[in-house]
Amino acid sequence: MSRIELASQMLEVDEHGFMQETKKWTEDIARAYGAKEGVQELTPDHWKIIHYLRDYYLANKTCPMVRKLTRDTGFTLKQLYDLFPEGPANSACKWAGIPKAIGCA
Amino acid sequence: MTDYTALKQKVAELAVREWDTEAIAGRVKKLMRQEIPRKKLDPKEMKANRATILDRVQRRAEEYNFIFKNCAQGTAMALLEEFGLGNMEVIKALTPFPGIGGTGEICGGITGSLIAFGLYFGSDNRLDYEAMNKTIAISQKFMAYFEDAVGHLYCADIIETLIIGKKLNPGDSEASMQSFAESKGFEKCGLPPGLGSRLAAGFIIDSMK
Repeated sequence: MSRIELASQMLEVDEHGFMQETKKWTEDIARAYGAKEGVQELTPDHWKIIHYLRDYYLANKTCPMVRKLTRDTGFTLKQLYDLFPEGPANSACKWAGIPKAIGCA
Repeated sequence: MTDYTALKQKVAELAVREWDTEAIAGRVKKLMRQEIPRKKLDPKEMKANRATILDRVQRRAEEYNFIFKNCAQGTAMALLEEFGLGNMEVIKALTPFPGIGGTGEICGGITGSLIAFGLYFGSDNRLDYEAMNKTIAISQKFMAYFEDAVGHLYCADIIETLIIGKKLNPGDSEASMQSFAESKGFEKCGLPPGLGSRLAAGFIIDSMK
């Protein structure tokens, strides 16, 4: 584990930059992650996905599979890649402040 | 964004194409005799010839799909041949994968491409989780682009909207298979293997450093 500063907060992250203390997440942290990947402004579509992922994670302690994410939010997988440069697992989950999904999911 | 007009034009072109079955069968027989030749891939050369390679892979996937009557095998054959991956056992293993066991599930243009990704991006070290994650991430991105290009991921949806224009499961009965064949289904179904293998080849070339 290492620590990085994002949105004026020191955060514990894994080797891929995923937050380990999800309760410390703020919307400014999501914006800062987005900026690091070249997305300067988060749109309502970004927030819809980010809040869906956070709510799902906090309720289930796991990330949803992509098929569930697309079905529940109405976005296609391609639209998710257009919104989040590294895709739902590597960008959206990171920006939502939840730990990196492990294994085949 | 899916361009249904262009896709339908392509399907129409496939339906009337004159297939050089002798030449295609000759290539397949040679691969069965001699196995898939290994290749030393030069990233610089591959990138310089990207457009030609993508055209070749797409054309071959359409042809192999036509002669095999199997989209998963046709897709994989074109990719494995182009990049010198795997062997003919892999193609044999793909026998039941069109629409996942003929159930109308995931299109063979996807499964054939993912097999090639596994061979290209996967690791010989079964405990190399980083390579596994990378391969799955690339596969997921590929599926996003496939769905965007073809409009669907599922065989049944592709047959209904693009290939035949009505609900039809060729694996359902002999009569359904006959109806599929009479509607030039095997010719037209070269669309997803062609586009899938083209996209997959682009992902492989673009990943080269």
